[in-house]
Amino acid sequence: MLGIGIIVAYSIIAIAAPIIAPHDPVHDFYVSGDFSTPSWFKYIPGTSGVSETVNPIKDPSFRDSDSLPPSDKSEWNFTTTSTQSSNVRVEWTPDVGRPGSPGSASIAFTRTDRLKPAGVVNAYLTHTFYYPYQGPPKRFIGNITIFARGAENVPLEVRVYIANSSGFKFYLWSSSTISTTSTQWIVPTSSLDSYDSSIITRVETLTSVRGTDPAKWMFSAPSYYTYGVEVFFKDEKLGPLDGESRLYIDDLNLKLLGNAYGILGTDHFGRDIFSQLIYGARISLSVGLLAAVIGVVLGLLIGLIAGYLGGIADELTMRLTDALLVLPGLPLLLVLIAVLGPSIWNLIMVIGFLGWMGFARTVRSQTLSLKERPFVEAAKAVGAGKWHIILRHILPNVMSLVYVSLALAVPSAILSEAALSFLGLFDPTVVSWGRMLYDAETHEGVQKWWWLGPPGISIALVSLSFILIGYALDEILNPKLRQRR
Amino acid sequence: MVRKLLAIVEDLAVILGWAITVASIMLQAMYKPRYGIVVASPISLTLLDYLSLFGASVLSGMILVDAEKVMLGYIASLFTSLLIMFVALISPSFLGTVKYSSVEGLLYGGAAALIFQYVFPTAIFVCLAGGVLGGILGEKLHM
Repeated sequence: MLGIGIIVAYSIIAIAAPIIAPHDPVHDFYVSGDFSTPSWFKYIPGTSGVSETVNPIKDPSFRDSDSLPPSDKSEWNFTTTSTQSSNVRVEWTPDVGRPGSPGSASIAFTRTDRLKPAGVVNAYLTHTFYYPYQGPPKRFIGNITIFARGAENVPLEVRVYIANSSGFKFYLWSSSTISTTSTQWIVPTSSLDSYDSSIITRVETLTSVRGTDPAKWMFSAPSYYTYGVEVFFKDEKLGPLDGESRLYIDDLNLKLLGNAYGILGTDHFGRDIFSQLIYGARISLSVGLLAAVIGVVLGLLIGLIAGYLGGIADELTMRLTDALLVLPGLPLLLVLIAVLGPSIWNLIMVIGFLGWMGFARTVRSQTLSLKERPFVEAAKAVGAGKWHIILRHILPNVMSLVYVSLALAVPSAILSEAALSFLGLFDPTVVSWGRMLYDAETHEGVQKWWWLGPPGISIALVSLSFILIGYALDEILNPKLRQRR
Repeated sequence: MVRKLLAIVEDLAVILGWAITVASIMLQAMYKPRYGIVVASPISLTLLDYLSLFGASVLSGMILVDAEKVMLGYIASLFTSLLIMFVALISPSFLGTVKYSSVEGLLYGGAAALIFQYVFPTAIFVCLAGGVLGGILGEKLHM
C-alpha cells in the first residue's frame, strides 16, 4: 500500500505539473537570483539578509497615456532644467514603439525662441520605489531601448541611473552623443546588470575594494531608491531651429532579483528548483515506465519464441542475449547515447533495449517447461499453429512473471536514466531528476541540500515503491510465496 | 523435391524483398535533405517511415507465417538490409569518385555510424514487432 501510495502521489504530481509548477523548468531563467535559497529560510531563527525578487516597474512598455505624467496613475515622475528659452515635455506616443509594444514614452525638446539656443537642457524620467528587505538583492537587471528623432537639430545624450535616498547617483549606462535620427531602436551595448563586468569595475573603482558586489553595495538597506533616465539636449548650435528633437523610450525596466525564492530556491541560472522537481517527476516516471515496458515486451517476445521454437532460432537469440548480458551496462549505455544523441526518446529506447536480457532468459526457461505440458501437446495434436500455442497457451502462463518483472524493471530504468543524466547525457530540452543532480553537482550545489536532496529522495522513493509493489505482486502471484490467510 | 525447393526460393525471395524494402526506406531517409538545426537527434526518420517499415514487416511476416521462419527471416533480412545500406553508402568509393584513401576511410566509418544511428534501436524493434504481428495474422488467416 505504501508503494502504491507513493506512486499515485508522484503520478498526480507528474500529470498536474503544468498546474502545480509556477514556472517553466527549462526556459524561465532568473525568476530570482542564481543559487537562491528557499524563501522559507527567513522563518529559521538566526537567518538574516534574506531578500526576495522585486519588480518595481509595473509597466515598462508604457501601455497608455496614464503610464506617464501628468496622469495621477503614472508611476513615473518627470522633471527638467528647462527654462523659458526651451520647452521640454514627456508624452505617450502610441504610434511609435518596439515591435509588439503598445507605444513608448517620448521626451521632446523645442526652442521657445527659434533663434536663441537654450544650451544644455536636462530632462529626468524617474521612478522612486521602496526596497523593503534587510538583505541586498542577489542581482539587479535593468533594460532600456531608445530611438532618437531630430537629433541632427539638437544632439542628445542618454543616461540610466539608480539613486539612493541620499541622492547619490550611480550611472548604469551612458550613451554617446546622438546627433542623427536613429535607423533602428538602440539597445545598450553593455547590459544594465550588476553582473556586467563594466559595472563591477566601476563599483570597484568607486569603493576601492576589489570584489565589491554592485547589488550589495547599491541596495545596502531598506530604503527609497530611484531608477531613472536622464536626457541631455545639447542645444548649442547657433542659428534658427524650427524642428524638434525627440527621444523615444521603451522597455524601461528594473528587476531586483532576490537571494531567496519559492519552496526550493533556484539553480545556477535562477530557475525555480521546485518547478524542476515537479516536471522532473514527469520525465523520470515516463522514462522509467516506457523503458521498462519496452524491455519487458522485448524480453517476453524473445523468451517465448526462443523457448518454444528451440533449434537455430533459440541458439541465435540466446547467444545474442549472452553477448549483451556480458557487456557492462552503464558504459554501453553511455556509448550508445553518445552516438545516437541524448534525446528523451533515444534514452527510453536504449534503456529499454538493454533491459530485456534477464527477463528473456527467465521467460525462455519457463516456456521450455510449459511446452512439454499436456495442454500444449493437446493443442499441437488438434493442429494449432505455433503462434496460436505461444499466444493462447504459453503466454497466459508466463504473465505472472511479466507483472513482477515490469514492477522491478521500472526502478532500474529510472536509475539508468538518472545515472546517464548525472553523467551529462541528458536531453537539453527537458529536465529530469538525474539532470537536477548533474546541475547541482557541476555548479557547487553539493552543499545546498535543498537542491540536491529533493531529486535524490524522489528517485529513491519512487524506486523503492516500485520494488515494494514488485515484491507484493510476487507474493500474490508466486504460489511458493503465497501465504495462507 | 521441386515443390520444396520452390518453397525455399519463395521464402528467400520474401526475405530479400523485406531486406530491400527496409534498406530503401532507410536510405531515402538518409538522403532526404534536412533543414534547420538538429539539436538532440541526428536521425530524420519520420512517422511515415516507421509506419512503412512496420507495414513491410507485417506483410513479410504474413507471407512467411511460420514462427521459426519469421524469426530467422527477420534476422537474415536485418543483416541483408544493413549490407545493402552499407554498399549504397560507400558506392562513391568503388565507383571511383573518391580519390584519396583517407577520405575512403572516412566514408566507410561515416557509413557505418550513419547506419547504426538510423537502425538502432527503434527500427529493429519496429521490424521485429511487425514481423511477429504479421506471422500471427498470417496464421490466423491461413487457418
